[in-house]
Amino acid sequence: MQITAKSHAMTPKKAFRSIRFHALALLFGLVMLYPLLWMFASSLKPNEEVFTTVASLIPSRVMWENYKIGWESSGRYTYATYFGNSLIIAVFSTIGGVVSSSLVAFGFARIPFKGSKVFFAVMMATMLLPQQVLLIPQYIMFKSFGWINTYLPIIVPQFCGVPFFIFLNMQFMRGVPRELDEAAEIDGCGWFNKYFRIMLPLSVPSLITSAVFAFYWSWQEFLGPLIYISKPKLYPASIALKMFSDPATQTNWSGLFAMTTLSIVPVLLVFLFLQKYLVEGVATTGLKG
Amino acid sequence: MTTIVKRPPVSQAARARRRNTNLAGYAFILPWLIGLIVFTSVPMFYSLYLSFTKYDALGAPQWIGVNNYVNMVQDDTFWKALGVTFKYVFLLVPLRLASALAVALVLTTNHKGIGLYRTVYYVPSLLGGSVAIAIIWARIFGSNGAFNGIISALSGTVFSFNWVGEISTALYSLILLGCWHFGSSMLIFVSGIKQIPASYYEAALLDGANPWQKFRYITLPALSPVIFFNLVQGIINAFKAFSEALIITDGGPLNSTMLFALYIYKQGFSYFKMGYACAMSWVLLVIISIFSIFVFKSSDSWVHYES
Amino acid sequence: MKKLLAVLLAAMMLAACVPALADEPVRVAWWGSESSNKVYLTFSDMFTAATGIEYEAEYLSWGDYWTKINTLAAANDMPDMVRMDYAYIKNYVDKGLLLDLTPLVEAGKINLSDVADSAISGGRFGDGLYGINAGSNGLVLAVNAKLVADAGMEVPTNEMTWDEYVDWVIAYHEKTGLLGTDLFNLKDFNLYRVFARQHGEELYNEAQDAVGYSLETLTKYFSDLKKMHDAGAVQNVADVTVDIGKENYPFAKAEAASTVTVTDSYTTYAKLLYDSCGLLELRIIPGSAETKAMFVKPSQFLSISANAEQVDKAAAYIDYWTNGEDANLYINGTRGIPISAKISSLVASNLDDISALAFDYMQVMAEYASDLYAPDPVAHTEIGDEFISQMTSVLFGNATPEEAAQKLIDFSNKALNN
Repeated sequence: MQITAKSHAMTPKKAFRSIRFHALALLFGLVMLYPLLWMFASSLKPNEEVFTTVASLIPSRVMWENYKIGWESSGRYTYATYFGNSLIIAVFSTIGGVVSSSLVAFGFARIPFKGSKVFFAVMMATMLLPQQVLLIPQYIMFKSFGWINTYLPIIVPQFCGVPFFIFLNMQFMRGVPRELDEAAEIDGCGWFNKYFRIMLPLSVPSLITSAVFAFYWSWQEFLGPLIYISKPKLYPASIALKMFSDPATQTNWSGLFAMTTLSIVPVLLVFLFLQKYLVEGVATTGLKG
Repeated sequence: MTTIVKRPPVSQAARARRRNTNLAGYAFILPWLIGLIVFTSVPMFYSLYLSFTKYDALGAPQWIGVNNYVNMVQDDTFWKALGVTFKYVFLLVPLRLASALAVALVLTTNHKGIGLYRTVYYVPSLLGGSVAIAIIWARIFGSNGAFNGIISALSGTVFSFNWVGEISTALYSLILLGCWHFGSSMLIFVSGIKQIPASYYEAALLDGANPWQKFRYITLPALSPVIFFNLVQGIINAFKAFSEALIITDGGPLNSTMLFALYIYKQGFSYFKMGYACAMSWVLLVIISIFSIFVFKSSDSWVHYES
Repeated sequence: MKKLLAVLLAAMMLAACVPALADEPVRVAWWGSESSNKVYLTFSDMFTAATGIEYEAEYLSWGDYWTKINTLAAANDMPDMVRMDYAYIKNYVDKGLLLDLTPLVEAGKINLSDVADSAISGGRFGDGLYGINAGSNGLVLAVNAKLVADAGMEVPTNEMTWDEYVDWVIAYHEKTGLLGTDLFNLKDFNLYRVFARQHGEELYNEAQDAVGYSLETLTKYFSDLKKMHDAGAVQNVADVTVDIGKENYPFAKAEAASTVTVTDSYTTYAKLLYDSCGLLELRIIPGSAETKAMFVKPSQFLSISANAEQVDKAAAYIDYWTNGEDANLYINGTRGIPISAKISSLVASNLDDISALAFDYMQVMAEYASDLYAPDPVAHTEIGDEFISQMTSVLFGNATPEEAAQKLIDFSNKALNN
């Protein structure tokens, strides 16, 4: 596909198709983005206007104060604290999840060791139980470790590999031609060398993909912090955001929208930063190993 | 599903190699093994034990044998939730998968600004189950929401159907929300497509293959491991989905959006029936397992691994 | 691998830097949104300033609070001072998770000398006192007097019967095209509780193993809702599936003439409507006059957990909430009428128009009130959800009022015996 597009010069027919492509892609993008634009617009409206001028995407006056008010939260801790905490959780979880999942995936995908099928099935099974019924046993367990009111219960398990990422990496590794392994074997490479010299450089796309998701998921992880963290100064933003809405009294909607908008920004930045490597793909980064 | 173990001729050297292979395998999966033993197994088995007890989280669990499982059979909402969940899974998974794949294919062609589109289509996935989404969805699909506005403008008559609120359509509005979040699967497809060696296509070009043939005979087979991954994960996640339903409709109206995992959550934390919630979770585990095994078995015939 | 370990260690050190203090602060917990968090934090600071006792606050939104407290209770790790709701406290008392406060009261650590016994009886279970009422509230019918006057109609009186109210709601709608009342609030199970009490019944029987009302009562209630709904006098039932906050209810937007609410929440509406419609008028729930069906309820309880380490400090916190003058002037009755008569009159003399109305109403309402209902059984939450389901089913036209009523009764009786 890429080749055909490259090898022809721009003819009028091509130009028309290009315009049509962009028109459709933009229109679709607009539909996709409308809810977010609405949220962003609402974050700039005066609170009482959020629901009176629902259809309008343009605030009567732009209230950047909403961001300041939302940021200050209940006054004791600001979103600087909450976002900071989210960042700590997300960075360590991402590192742990990506590194260990890749190692484990290689074991499952490439090494024909005894019992690998059974272990793989067990791993899949651990993904199937809903997290909510594990909360209480996990709390009791982590309490006995003395880990309550720390991020350890959230971060450390990531260093043991995340089934989703393990499986993802496995599927990508299985797409790598086996001749490469075999060539390495002739060179007398052991499994560790095969992993570090051949597989690792080749699995950049799945590593990047894992990192994008790992960061986002741990950034918005909610149930874990809810259970393990009791001190508000250690709360991540995901918990703080839920305290805007109040069934009994009035909700500061524009503040909620403002902070929700802000909470997307770091995840988006990580994505934008990483997608550069994603785009290059294996064709340029790999296959030299 | 995993690699086939070849049976080598039994010689000393071969046996040593086998042992080395086994050792290497365990070494690589060691982090996961530790996690399984230390963090995962105990809570899992404890929840299995709890499923045979009456446990309200506040007092000590009381052994009641299989009562929770028997009660489930007589629980109308359990069956209702199961039905709702099946509908949700069977509609959402193929729809999300197809849209993710289609968009990923388009986004790996060679147009300017592709990166921007990829970002734009991915961003909605970042909103997940946040509180804000409830209000946004109610605003778009409520009686006087944007969706009705468009229909009214197109048809010329005033349309005020509450798509999130009516029994007949509430679940579909949640399915649509799930589809709107196709970005993650799309991203995985994009990286999958990027990983297909360019040499494959060069060979096809020499053979004079048209775009459809290239898709059918190169992209699709080479991408099949990733399609398989997205399918399995899609099924698992859809069966376990609940936060959107909790935040937006709270299972209503009339349990028409009572997803199974939401019902589990309610039983466990609103109704103080943790034992019952655990029992339902294990039923859910069995159901997802059956589907997964089926998909895994079928994969032999359509998933192509490099060998 | 070395790097990995280094990172792991760094993470551990970073996260584990929670110093152990010799003189532990008292752990206090509550549910709340940003605005109530501000109030409670300020209150707690005033507490520290007045008593020199340091505190550590743990707060979450309403639903999350209970998920958390349940988990903490399971692990014997509850905060020292916990806020409890009347709907849940009994379960915690039954499981021995709360401390009997009687010795603390007798020792004068929680001073209740200015408190009428009726104001704290809600927290009494058996011989023990397990929660101190944080402030009293009650159900109220709030009426937008301006809208009613514009329609040339009369604001309901306290003596109005239920049937008259249903007709009034429909008549208002027919005259103006606006809504007579707000379906979001009609969904409240507590309103039906008052309705049952109007018929001399309660939600549950004394043994709490069956419902305490008759099929006729519930059928009549569902029929009346359906009558108002089908006449268009309340919003379409599909429009109450998604609840996005009180400020979006028709009553808050001056699109409905009346609403049922709780005195605490009334102020939210009153503030929203003050500029456009002036003060609201507050009435008892129609039909409650003769039968004295109303009740004065603790808005929430301040309790001490059985595993508390700082019992005396927690008691001081509760005492300060109950008797602290400056603190109560600051809270200004927003968490219900203070239970101490002395504090209550102090606060009353400093109120603005909106809050004064709620204080006055509570005094009027007390004349139409009888004993508070017994604390609800554990199954109440589940039954409450089913109540909404059955009510919705009637309004969608999927079941007749009688069918739905029978279903709810069957469901309740089964759940109560589980």
